[in-house]
Amino acid sequence: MTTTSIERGRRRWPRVLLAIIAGTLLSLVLAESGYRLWLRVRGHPYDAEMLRGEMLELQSRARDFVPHPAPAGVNDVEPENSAQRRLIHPYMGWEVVGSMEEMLADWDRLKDPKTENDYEILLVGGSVADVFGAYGADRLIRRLEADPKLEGRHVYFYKYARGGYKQPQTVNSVQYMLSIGFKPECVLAIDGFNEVALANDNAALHSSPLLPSTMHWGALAMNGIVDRDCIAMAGHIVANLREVESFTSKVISSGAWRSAILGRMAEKRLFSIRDETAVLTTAYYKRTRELGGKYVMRGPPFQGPGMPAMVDGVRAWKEGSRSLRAICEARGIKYVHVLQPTLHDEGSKPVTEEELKKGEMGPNWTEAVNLGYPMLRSEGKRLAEGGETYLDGTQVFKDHAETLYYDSCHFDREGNKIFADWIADEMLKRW
Amino acid sequence: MNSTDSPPQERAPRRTPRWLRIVAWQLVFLFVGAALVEIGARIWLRAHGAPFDADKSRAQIELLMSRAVDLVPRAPGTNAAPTTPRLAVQVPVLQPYTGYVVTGVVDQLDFELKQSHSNPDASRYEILVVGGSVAAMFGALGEKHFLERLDADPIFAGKSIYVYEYGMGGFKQPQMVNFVQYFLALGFTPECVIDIDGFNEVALGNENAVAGSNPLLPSIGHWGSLTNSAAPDRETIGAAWSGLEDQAAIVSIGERALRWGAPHSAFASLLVTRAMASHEARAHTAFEAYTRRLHERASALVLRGPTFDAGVQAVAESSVRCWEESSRSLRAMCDARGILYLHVLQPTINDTGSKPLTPKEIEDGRSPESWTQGVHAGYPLLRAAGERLKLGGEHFFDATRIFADVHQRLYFDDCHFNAAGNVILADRIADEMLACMKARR
Repeated sequence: MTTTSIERGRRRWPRVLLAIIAGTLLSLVLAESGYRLWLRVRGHPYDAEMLRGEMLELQSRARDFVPHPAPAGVNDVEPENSAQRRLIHPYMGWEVVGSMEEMLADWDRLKDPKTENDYEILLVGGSVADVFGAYGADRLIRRLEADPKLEGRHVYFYKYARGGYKQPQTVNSVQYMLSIGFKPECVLAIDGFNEVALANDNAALHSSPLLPSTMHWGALAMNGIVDRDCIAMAGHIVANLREVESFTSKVISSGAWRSAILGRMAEKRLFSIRDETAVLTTAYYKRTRELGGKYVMRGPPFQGPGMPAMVDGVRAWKEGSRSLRAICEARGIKYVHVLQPTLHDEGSKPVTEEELKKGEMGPNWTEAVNLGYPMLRSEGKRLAEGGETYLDGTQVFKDHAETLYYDSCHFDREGNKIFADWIADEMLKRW
Repeated sequence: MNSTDSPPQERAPRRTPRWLRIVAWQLVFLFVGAALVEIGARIWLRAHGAPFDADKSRAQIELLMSRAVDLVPRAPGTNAAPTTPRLAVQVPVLQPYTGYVVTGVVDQLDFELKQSHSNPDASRYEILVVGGSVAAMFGALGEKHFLERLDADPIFAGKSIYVYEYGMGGFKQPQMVNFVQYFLALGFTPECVIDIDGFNEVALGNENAVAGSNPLLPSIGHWGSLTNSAAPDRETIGAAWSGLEDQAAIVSIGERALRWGAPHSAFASLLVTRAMASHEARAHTAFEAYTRRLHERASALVLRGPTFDAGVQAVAESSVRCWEESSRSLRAMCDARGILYLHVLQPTINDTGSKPLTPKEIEDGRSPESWTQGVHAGYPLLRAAGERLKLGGEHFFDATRIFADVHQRLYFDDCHFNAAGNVILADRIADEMLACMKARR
């Protein structure tokens, strides 16, 4: 090789490198554009914001006891939020750690003479009631305070709904609060879904539908982890959940979610971890249930899953409500019972494609909603005929075609606003 | 010398070896001494007005044995077959709505639920008895007389009566109200609920407070051991998981070392054993952290409960408020279903003026200080709260003075009474119940 050709070669390499980089970038842009075009043609255009929201919700689901709708998912709850950790409780099966601080704050309030004239509402129920406490209660407070019937009284919410609670946990929690010394003017119970869905889950895991949700309580009742297999399963589950948290954080902070290719790759990976976790979780609950044996985890004899479990769950719901009403009326407390709406209750809402995608449900819950909701409505009607302030909220989103649900049973801020307005209307109508 | 020619030697008489004689004399002295001690003791007992009674002694031993293994001790004289601790029906197990139940109750619920489903008898008059161990013993020792009294009354003519016995040792409010709710949710439809309670609320409530637990939680002595390590979280599981990973690493390193012949080399052996020792130390640390974390979390989060005002009087007030509120709820729940609710405040030995006590009752009735303090502070409050409940229309029966004129021995420990005492209680409850039923007609 001559000196000239060597020099020419030396001069050429930056251009070659530049061409390679440009070619790579161009091909990436082309691939990204092509993929977006292909998605659009297939009728599923890429929506980066939607994916980001989905990731935040997945992150919340991996971390929080009651998942939060995006964009609240990462912003208002610390990672590994200690307040949401569960611990065993003698009267409700379990409680969350945060209840200690909550009760301490409310205990101080009880002794404060300035709060004597407040109109206090004790909110109980499962996770939908819990989310309502976070996103709908303020709206309800404003609506009630604005009404002349309340004569200018300040409204305060005691928020003691817990994700996964079902009857008789709700009635027990009210009794416990009254025993401690709480004196609310109103008890608002929002429930129904867990009584059928989690009851059916229990029966499928060979636990009585009347016991607390095995998925929430079983691990605590069996001291969390009882043998190496259980520890291994629990360890894998925790590792997966942490992976979801860490991976979603990286995708969001790096901006990878803006790319259709990277975003979809990330989504695929997250879904894969989620599905593996779901399988491991079911195996873990099954294992703890088996080890829990007859005396702790099986409960009284039952049949099911399916219709017999629904009969048990709906009976517990009805008897719980009858007792709650009696307990309240004996003390002059107003009792308002709301049957919560749910996504897969046929005809309850025009379901959007997004809701369908996010609201995928296992066969136990689908069966429970299909069989259980008509029974809940029918028994609820009887409760109302018996004089109970019973509100059937199952059709509250009937005319709302927009996306409100962010999973199979929880609805977002807008949904809670609609729900709060409806509850306020119904309460004020009956005041 | 020819042996056949020699004259026969006279044998000296054989004497018992000296040591044997000493042993024999010692045995004689031992037996005689023991007999003398026994006779002396009996004379001394008789002289002190308490002649020896072998049957009573046997009963006392049985009671002590029973108290060592049973949640509700068997009353002396009852011929219940002794059960081995492993098979005992009184082993407490975790229950989500009452904190705990005993295994026998789980079996009993199984049986009675199946029975009620397979043979629903609408004409049967069903009574649910709830409360603590005194209520449980009422079922065993007073129920027969109670049923005889009810059967003899025309109000029950032609009706069969069935008693669901669900008194459980250590139970106190709100365990009873929660149990009744659970019982109703299971589909049972009793016509009457009798709640016999009061003592545990103030005695065990105070004991809880002394132990640093909220008096409204279940008796820590009955429930605490079931929940000592029942607050796992991600960090706790993580600690156990790390320990297991280290243990798995030890096995893996060891297997590889053996496969590659590491033991033949001093240096390789040193490296391998050091690595394994390091993993072992880490596993040990992880398991220690796991145990410590479980214990700390259980103590702080599960066993303590909500903040409460300390001091005997404040604790008694909290316990009695819980008792009163629970009874209001139980009554409301029963009224809403047309169920007759009868609430009985049980008598107790340390409630001053409630019974002329025999020396034996005083001796047997020694309580832990926390119980006695709880009774002294709490029983006047219970009676006052009971009066309020009665004024509000509840069928409340203050049974704290039903033994006020009974001089015979009834109590066999610090709160439980024998069959004779239960017959008296059964009579009075039957009177109250029949009066309530007639008033409702």
